[in-house]
Amino acid sequence: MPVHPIDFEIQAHIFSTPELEKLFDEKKRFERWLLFEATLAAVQGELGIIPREAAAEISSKARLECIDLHSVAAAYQQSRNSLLPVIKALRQACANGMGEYVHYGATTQDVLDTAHILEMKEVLQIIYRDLRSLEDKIMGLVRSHQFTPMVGRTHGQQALPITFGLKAAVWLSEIRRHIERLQAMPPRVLVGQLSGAVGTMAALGTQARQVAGETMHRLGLLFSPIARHTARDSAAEAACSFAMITATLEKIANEIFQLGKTEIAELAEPVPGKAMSSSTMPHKRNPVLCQRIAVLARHVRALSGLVVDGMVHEHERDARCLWSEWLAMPQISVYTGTALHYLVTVIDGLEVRKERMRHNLYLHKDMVVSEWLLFRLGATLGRMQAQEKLHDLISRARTENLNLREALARDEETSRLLTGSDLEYLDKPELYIGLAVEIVNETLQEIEQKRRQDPEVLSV
Amino acid sequence: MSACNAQASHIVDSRFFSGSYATEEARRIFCDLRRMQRWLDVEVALAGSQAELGIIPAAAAAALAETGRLERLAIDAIHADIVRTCHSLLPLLDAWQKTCTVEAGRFIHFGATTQDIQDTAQILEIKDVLALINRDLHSIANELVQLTDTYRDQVMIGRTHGQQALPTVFGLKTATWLDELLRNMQRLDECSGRTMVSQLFGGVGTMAAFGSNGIELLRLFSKKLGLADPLVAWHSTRDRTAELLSTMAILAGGLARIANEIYQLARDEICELEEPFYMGKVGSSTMPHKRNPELCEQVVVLARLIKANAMLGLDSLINEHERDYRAVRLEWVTITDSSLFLCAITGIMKNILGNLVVHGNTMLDNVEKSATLISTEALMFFIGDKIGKQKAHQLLYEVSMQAHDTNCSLLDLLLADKRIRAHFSAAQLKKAVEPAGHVGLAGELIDRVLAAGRKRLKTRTRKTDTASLCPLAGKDGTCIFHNRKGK
Repeated sequence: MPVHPIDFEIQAHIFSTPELEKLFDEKKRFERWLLFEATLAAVQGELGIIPREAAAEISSKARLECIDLHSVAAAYQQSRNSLLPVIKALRQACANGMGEYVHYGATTQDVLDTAHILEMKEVLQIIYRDLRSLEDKIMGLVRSHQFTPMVGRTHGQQALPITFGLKAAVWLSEIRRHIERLQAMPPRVLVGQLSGAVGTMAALGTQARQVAGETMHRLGLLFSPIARHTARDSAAEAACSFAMITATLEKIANEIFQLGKTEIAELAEPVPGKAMSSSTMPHKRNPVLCQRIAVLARHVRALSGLVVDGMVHEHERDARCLWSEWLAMPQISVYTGTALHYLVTVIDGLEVRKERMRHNLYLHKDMVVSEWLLFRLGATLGRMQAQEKLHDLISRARTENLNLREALARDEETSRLLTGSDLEYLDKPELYIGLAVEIVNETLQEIEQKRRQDPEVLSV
Repeated sequence: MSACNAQASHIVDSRFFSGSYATEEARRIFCDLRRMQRWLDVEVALAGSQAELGIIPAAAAAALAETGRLERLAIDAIHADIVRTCHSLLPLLDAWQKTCTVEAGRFIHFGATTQDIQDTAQILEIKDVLALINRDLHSIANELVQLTDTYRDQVMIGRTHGQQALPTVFGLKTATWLDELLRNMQRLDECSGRTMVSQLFGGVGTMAAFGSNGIELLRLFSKKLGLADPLVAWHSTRDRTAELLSTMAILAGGLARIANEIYQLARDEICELEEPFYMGKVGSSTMPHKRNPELCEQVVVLARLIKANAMLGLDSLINEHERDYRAVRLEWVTITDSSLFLCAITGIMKNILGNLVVHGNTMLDNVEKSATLISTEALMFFIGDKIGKQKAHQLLYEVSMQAHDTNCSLLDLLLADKRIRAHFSAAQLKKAVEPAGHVGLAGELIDRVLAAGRKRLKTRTRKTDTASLCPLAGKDGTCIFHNRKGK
């Protein structure tokens, strides 16, 4: 009986993806814990800390199918510890009393934290893979629309001409920086934990550091001898990074949402075949995915705050901080991955209406190059005077319902100062796009070069 | 002291920008000199109450009332002592005591704890803030009543998911603004009823140092200050201030919703509303044609800041033991900032709504552009009367898709269809898709909200709408410290 919308089975995968759902499956968590215990035992067996046959027995039984999950479930009803029921079941599964050597010298949080980092490794790999895929798709968009003129907007108002390629190139550069941030994270984040109850490694014996280092190595993680039980900066870094990534996704999705408003209609997210948007208005075509992205991103932002709060640990362990993080991180990861998946879909099938972009650009075509006029008139009149002159002419044009070109021609001063070629931009605002084409070229080149050097898979 | 004496580093105090983040009258409430004077006033009220109950000599109380004036004290010494002692109140009291006789001075702050004085003074500040807010909300509600009434028949397009949906009237939109505002006014009233209480319970809330008459003292003290007396100490119970901060955030969010709607509907491509513009207001340093909705944007900025403070208000709820400095000191910032920001919002919104530009013709243009497409439901019933509903649905579906694919008008395509021509004239069809005919019960709904709004406007009580006068203002209204500075 799924209760949380992440887990819904009928209305499935609205707030998750199959891949991420599998990654955070409860049984998968137990498997990671068992893997930790098996690896630890194997290393301890080889170093002679526990009997070799114990290590072999633990390794062979540390599999979900050897564990009685019913009794584990029953034990959780009694237990106040997050791990013990599983450890107990593993001990019971081991023959000849070898179970005594399970979890030898480790503390609960060693197992849980390390398992979380294993999870995080897979999450980072997915996010990294999909971010690069998004980057690839946006590069396609940038290339296709390097010369597509549209109006740029500030304060919600039409400002100056730009190209759609330039707008998308800004998205591209932001995503590239996120990719670079992810690339820098493994040495800080993908670090396992095996330090014992209060971080002294007291129960792990004299070869403690060797045991821990080798265990982490085999698990595919880095190791640092200093405990991170109360140092939650790694989780906070991942959470904040995801908050930033999803904020970028939301920003792009919102841009598509805004530019898809009926009156603007420059962009539209793809709608699969017969998808219905409204139960009551048959003509509606709603940007549903873009809105879902926004919802997911807002949740990630809110939850990441809790993970940052969790950094304020007391003493050598603070369950209030820790459990808050445990509750938040799976959601943060699933929501981030899902939002990313949605945006890849949206960009992949994005409808770009070039005609409509031109139409909107021409709505006030002589106004949107007022910067050029200011620059041109400023050269002779001085900037302040030119600004005042243009302000007057523009408001005269507005009140008298003239176009600006006429107002400029009727004014004695400006008609004298402006030649025909000065006014070309007023007729063809798409020419006033500055260095947009060159900037886009350079951005594409830089990112193409970086992509060639990217590792395909993010790893430690 | 270095030669630089930066006195206006917070944006609310900026000589240049404070107007966008606070109003002058709101800043006066939180002036740091007035804050000190409020503390003195609360101490004087305490002494006066204690004298009435015979806890301290009447002569001492009279002397304290006379000497408890900030202008008589050495401000610089107080400042230096606060830095040296790390105590927020004692240096003020010490400076005061030095100006008193031994007999009077020994009864300063008699049995109270610092937080008694500061919490009570903070509530007095809030009381003044609420007076300003209530006054402004009354004006805003009045503007919204006017707008709703004026535009009750102004047809426009309604939008969902950012997409044009069905016709509505502008008056119905403003009615939802008004309706929300009325609830927020009610919230503020209720919150104020719970919040306007004094604090006077001593070190750990037992009233141990006030003697056996403590509860009577609390009653007298509260009455003198115009506050209610709480049942028990709230030093470490901050739900009142948390509720206030949350209520402010809800109110600010409601007003920011209006501002954002105006911002969105002011886009060049929509152009249905426009915030007040006057010649000389500059949108852009580089694009002379720009008319930016910056007032609306500022309201959203302030609402976000107030929302963030509400979160901190909730953090303050988690107090430890009988007193928790960490929670209370958060409020010194959150209450002050949220109050100043909210006063700025209400000031701006009064201006925006009082001078809102409504482009009724563009509203009509925008709705008519998509009139036929959005009237398929109405057409289906209209045509269905003659040819049967199922047939009408099929016919309209075919023609709608054709209109979509060919970019022809649905109405033209319908009129070209002989199944339609057999039953309907062009005029009949045109009338059937008239947007004004599809605004449902908008008029009735508007009337309900207008009635509620007008009722609320009648209940205004001016008494609670006025902030207290600054005790540091001289007879001519200027600050006595301002005059002193001149010497």
